[in-house]
Amino acid sequence: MVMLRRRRGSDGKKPENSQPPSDENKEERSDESKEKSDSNFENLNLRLKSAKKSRKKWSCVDSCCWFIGCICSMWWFLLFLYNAMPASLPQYVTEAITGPLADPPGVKLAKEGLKAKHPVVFVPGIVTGGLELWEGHSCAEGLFRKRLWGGTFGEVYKRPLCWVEHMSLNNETGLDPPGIKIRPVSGLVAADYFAPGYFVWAVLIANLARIGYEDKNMFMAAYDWRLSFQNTEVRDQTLSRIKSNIELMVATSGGKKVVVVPHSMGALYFLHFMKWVEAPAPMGGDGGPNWCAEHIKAVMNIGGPFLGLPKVLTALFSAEARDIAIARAIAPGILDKDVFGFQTLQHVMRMTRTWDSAMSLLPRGGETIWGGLDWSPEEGHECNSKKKNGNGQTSHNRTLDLANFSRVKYGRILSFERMSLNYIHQRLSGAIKGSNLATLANTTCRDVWTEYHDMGIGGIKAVADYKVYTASSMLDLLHFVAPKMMKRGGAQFSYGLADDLSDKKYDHYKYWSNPLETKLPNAPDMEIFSMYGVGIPTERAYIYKLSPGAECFIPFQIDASAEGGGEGHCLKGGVYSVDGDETVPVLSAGFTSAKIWRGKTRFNPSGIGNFIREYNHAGPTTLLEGRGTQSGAHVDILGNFALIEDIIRVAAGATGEDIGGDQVHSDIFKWSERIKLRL
Amino acid sequence: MSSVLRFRKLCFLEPTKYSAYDEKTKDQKNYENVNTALLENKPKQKHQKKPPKEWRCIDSCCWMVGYLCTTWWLLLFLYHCLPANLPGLQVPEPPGTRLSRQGLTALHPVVMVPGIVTGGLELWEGRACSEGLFRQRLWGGSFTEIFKRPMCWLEHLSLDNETGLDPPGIRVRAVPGLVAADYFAPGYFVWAILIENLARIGYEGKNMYMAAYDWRLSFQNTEVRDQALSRLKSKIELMYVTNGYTKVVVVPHSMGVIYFLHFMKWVEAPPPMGGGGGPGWCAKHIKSIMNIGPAFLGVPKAVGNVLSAECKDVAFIRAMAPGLLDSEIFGLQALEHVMRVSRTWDSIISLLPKGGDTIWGDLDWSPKKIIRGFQVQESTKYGRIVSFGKAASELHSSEISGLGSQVYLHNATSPQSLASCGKVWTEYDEMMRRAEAHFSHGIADNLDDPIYNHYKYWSNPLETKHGDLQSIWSRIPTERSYVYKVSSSGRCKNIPLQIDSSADGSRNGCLKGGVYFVDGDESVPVLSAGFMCAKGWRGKTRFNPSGIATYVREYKHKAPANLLEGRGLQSGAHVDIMGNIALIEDVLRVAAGASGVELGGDRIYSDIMKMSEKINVRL
Repeated sequence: MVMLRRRRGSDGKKPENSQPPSDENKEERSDESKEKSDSNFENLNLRLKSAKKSRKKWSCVDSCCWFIGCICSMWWFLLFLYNAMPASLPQYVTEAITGPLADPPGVKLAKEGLKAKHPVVFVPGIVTGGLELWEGHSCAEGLFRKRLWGGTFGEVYKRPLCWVEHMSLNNETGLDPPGIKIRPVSGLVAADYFAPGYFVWAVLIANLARIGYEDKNMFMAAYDWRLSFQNTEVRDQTLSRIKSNIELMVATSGGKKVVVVPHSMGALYFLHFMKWVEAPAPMGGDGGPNWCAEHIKAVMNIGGPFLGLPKVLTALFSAEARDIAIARAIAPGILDKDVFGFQTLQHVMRMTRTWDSAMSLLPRGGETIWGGLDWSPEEGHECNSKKKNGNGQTSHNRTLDLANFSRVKYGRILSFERMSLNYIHQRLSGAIKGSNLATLANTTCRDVWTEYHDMGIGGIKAVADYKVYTASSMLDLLHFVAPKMMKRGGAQFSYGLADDLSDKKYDHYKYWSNPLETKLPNAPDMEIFSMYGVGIPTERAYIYKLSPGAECFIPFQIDASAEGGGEGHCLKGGVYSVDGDETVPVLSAGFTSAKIWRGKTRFNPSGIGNFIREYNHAGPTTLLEGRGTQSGAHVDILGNFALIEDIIRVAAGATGEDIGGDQVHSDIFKWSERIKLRL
Repeated sequence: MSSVLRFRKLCFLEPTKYSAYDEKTKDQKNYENVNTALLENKPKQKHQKKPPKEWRCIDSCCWMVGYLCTTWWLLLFLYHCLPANLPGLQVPEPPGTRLSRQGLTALHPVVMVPGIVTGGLELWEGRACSEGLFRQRLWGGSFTEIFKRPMCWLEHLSLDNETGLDPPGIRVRAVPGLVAADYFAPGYFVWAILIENLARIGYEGKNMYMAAYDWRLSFQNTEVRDQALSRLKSKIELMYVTNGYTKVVVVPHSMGVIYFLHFMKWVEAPPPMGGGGGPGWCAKHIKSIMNIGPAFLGVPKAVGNVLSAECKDVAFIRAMAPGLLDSEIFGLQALEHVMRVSRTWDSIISLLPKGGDTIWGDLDWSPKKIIRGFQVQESTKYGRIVSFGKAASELHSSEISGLGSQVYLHNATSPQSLASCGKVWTEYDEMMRRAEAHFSHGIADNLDDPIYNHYKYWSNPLETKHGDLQSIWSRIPTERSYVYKVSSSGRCKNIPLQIDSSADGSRNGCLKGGVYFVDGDESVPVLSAGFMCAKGWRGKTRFNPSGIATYVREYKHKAPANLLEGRGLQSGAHVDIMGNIALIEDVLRVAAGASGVELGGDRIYSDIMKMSEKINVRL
């Protein structure tokens, strides 16, 4: 009681009472005397008193502490329980819910008696490989040999501008800026996990280890994926390293040739490597004309974008892909306005434009491959892939879809506003570089520099007025929009289609990574696999609009409001999609193996065996499965059991025929037929 | 959060409101009424006080934890907010920065060869108990698995007792790349400082290479199982070519020195036993070898290891708590297990003292009898590397039935006590037999004898024709001899021999806690480190037929001045020397192209020259 009253007093109710504190005390004392007489209450009161004393200390801070403490203890307790749990428990739980899991392919095949035979070389793709700092400016203090790319990306949040500065390359040379050295992480750790828990190669490595692979017969050909392919050799001698490692592994495993597993852009990189290694010394690796035949058993490309990616156009053009377009539509204020003073997209765009490698992914072959204004190889594709899986209705649906959607013109890779689909070809040359807005823009837009500012308003208008771009005019557009980048890119990569492969000019390294302008090496025993997922809508063409406030920001953006009619329409949020693995359209991944390398052609003079292995996408059925064991998505396919099994079988000595030859779900052969090309 | 606050409000405010109301009534009524009011009040109060009362114990715990956490986070946050260079903590400029300002740039590729124990090992295939550890480090890193599943850990780290290779179903492999040995455990650097300084003058992944190997295996077996030597050869050749045909500088540390010695013999030997590099391979590819703390002639510590799985630290613990480690309280038999595991590691045998009595001293003499810095009152007998009891170690040789140190090792077992030792199976003979196949510890009389082409002689500098370019090491008191006594308890679970901690010499003697100390770097005595460069290879000798220049550079040990310096910038201890500024500077200068003479030639603090002279070896 006493304490309670005091508390009340301290709560500030005293003035209300209008009683002097001395009176209250008196009263309390009298209270106490009364209570003393009653021994029953005394004990209770004492106990209460002690309780109140400790409680009096509780304040807001205390309750915060209490709350944090509570959560921490709970967390630790759970963590402890989790650690104490037997490792196999999650599996029991999963099996109880989803039924017995299939054995991982490595275990299954080990039971069949497969043993490690051919050494395996992994070639990671763009973005998935880790990069670490070897030398930096003062803002990067303490990050020596820490990952800037990959891992937790903690530095992006801590010092974003510093990070962007270090990740960018020199705009002129495409090499390191002075004073900064970023190098690829080497070894299997370079790309086994991209971020903690997000596997890239780890599942494949673990399964290969089950049949006896280990560090000595697996090699991760990590390279700096920001550089152009030839520059990795110039700066880091990466190609020489790969050559030396392959030679070493062939020698130490008793003459067994290697199986190469490139993923994504790695497929192009390895194409470049195969040309490089046989080319004579100063430009090439001087391995002699039979190096590939002597050292490579098979090349198993996983989702290789041989003909390029339409997605890259938008990434270079306006630094956005579908995901960003949607985010923009939902929250227009955040990304566009300069709320945080970061101008996120501009920075990202400036950075990505310095990466030469992105240009290796531009669509190749021009209108011959990707379609012109009025035709495209994929015409008639139905976008509602789910109906395809239905049994009886398939044919019916297909005819319906054909009727509905034959109008979709994928050939127009980029068009301004939907109405403009019918506009006629206009001349780009009419565009005049507008009045020099750069000075004005630079002052108003902080120090963010994009090449758009050199272009000025008039140029931007001209780009928008041109309305429709195909694969080849798209290149002109990029030349116009980003001249510096394209100048660098033009020296490193080529996007054409060769008429005469014996022309001397094709000995230059810039053609080496373009399958349309090179011959495959002379290695009749080698095999090439094109393995990729199908069944996911993949970006193929875009609808753009001018963004408001074009002076200060990237002036173009995807028109997310453009929707096709009906559920199954291929146009969603300003993006036309086709079949593919979410990143690479089927055409880009499969066309080379389906047509130009099939049999003895001028692109494949020695008749290297080519196989297409498509994997139908099936998402994880429950959350417990994580990223799924039957996924066909671009990166998740590396955890696809069927694909892993194929790779292990080939690594253990099987040939393409042994694992079942072609396995096709999409219309790749039909589409390839439509492309007119001299073979 | 808000619900919690509401809850607290309920607990605190409700009763006060009630009493406030109570009081008002009291003001009007007289004292009798108060009493009844109280009576009425009590049960309700009781009811309402209950939740707060239940709180108290757990809550104050929670409060404590929360309080600690918050303070910790706050401090952590403040620490991160600190500028990198506090004025008080002025770190002296690293040698790399200074030298790069002097204009030094990367020239020769650098190959680093880690020593025993410092390299990480990871699991590639294991038994059921090691679930979830695939490609995780078993050795190096945080060693958490030792505490979680000790038996499993030991099982996976031991090798097959017969072959010295993997036991069936287990594959533990060396971690590749620079990460293999840059840090041994988090915060405990090995090569990291050197790497960082090399990077400052322009080195990067393409011209640095860490020759990581499985240090548990015998040297030749690393080639048989992992092709580690072939890899090293291919990497050196690659770096030689890609860096514009500049020769490499090799920096081996500790056992890596012997490993590299083995490599140099291997690479020039014809296949199948060797690498087939031809006789000029080393001359063509290697500029210089900068041995850090080399153990050319072996380390007496290894004898202690082999004999009783204990080094001097363990000897102290054993003496202090005889019951704890020896008895089977935890059912773990820790020492015995450790011993069993380390016995399967062939590489330890490579560290056994080489050269026998000629080098290390006979029962009555030792090259180091006179040592400046220690007031030796009685002639301590270093020659007796292992002796039973203090008395025995000081007796004259005629009084004990002496056996040379070499012979002694073979007969050191007491089979009777081992026979009944249940599952803990420690067999000395087995190990020595395997050892004989891979390593040799003698001195060659005639180096042209074809038997010396066998690989087991390659890692013994006293039996190979070879040379070194530079030798770098340091000094600090180190273990040289051990006094052993037969375990007093004599129970079968015990290792029959243990270091006699009770044998303490007179105050100024070198005998400290059962271990004789001589000059050295805590692990490797000066004699072992320097003899080959000081004598065996100096000038044109039969061990060094081509007359390769050798240099001895010693670094005086100076302990860190305060705790802030960490492990010291001028340390000379065996591993800490990797952070020694003077040493790093020497390595950088040589890597940037300097020769031994430019560095200043020999720099000697110890009596190595005098000691070497006492050793009679035909040169």
